[in-house]
Amino acid sequence: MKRYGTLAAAALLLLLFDTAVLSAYNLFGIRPWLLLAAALAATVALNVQSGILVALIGGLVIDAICNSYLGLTAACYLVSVGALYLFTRRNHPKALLLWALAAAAVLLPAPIEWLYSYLAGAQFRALQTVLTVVLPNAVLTGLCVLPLSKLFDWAKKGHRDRI
Amino acid sequence: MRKLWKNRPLWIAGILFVLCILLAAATVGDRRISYTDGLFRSAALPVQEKLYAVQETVRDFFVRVFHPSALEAENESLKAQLLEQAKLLAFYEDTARENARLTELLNFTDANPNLRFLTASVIGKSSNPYMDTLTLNVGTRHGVSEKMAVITSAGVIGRVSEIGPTWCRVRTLANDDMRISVTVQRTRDEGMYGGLMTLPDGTVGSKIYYLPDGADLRIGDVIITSGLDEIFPKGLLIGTVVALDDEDTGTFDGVVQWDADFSHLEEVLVLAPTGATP
Repeated sequence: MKRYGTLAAAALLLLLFDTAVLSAYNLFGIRPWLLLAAALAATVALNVQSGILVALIGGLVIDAICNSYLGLTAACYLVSVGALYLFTRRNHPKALLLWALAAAAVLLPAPIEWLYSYLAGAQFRALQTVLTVVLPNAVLTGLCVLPLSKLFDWAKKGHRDRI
Repeated sequence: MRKLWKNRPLWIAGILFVLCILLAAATVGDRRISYTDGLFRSAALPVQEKLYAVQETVRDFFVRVFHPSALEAENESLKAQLLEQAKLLAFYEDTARENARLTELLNFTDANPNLRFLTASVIGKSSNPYMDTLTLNVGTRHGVSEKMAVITSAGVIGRVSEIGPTWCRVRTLANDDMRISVTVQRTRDEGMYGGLMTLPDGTVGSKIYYLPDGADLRIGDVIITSGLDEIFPKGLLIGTVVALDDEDTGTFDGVVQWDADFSHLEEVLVLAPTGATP
């Protein structure tokens, strides 16, 4: 149970830190999406089911808190989790590659958000948004996956040691 | 089939993805809350409230850490605002009370159209505990003259005894030299009010005397002006009888405790004698 306890506690803390602190303190909107990082780290370090659970519940909670389209964030998180699972299921990548793969997984669902924003009538410049916000955020989120995956890995190993 | 089953987590993720997309699609382009949206948000509301409270605490903590000066400035600003609001509130409360008092006086003047009044504010009170003299902010320039009656809607206050251009001094009911022609409301007996007397229990009142022989004066009788002195109109309240001349000294018939509260008096009416113009 330790790994799931660690996962739940980390997800809750990251959600609070994300919505309370990073939403107020960021550099021109550039900030890591910590809950997504937790979901991705859980996928890599624990199993994909854990990642799916965190992505689904966390995404819905974020949608409920931030009053965005209910389910959209959860859907995007699920895409990222699924993508990273596909990228990493054959082997366990080294840190640098994991960072790149996680960043790529974060980037994947961006078009879905744009599509919804477009359908909702919002106006934005896709290329500018990618370069100035989405890409840096994806890189930072990917970077956050590394320590979090180490943390979950540690929780998993502790569980195995006790067995 | 086995291969498909092997990818079970992906299938689950896919199904959940489609469900989430459908959920989001229910609200896109239309910001009205759908049934599903409303149901989820209603269920999530208690959790959201708790999360929001924790969020605020965490945010405050970081504001304290990163922007202590901003917090101090906000604190100072809020304190100043609070002080300003307190001042404003005190002003409004004072205005409301003054309004109530003046409305009461206005009702009294409306109820007595045959009398001529001048509204005045109390600007000074004698330092002795009986408040036997008051100073008002009206004088000869305002048409006030000596011996004019000073009253409130509650009854008699006193009489103008000294006068200046913009002020006048009033001898109150609690003054030892005050004399008024009065009537016992119940029996209609007439007498004279005046001269302080301290009762054994420490209560201070004024004597009532010159009542007719055999007058049936009782404790609790209400004493009003008789109007015979042509200073005070008939029927104004003076006070209540609190003691009788039990020892039959013959110097007075009873002791009257005045109803007016001189210590909290702020506005009064100066009353012109019948036929005069204040």
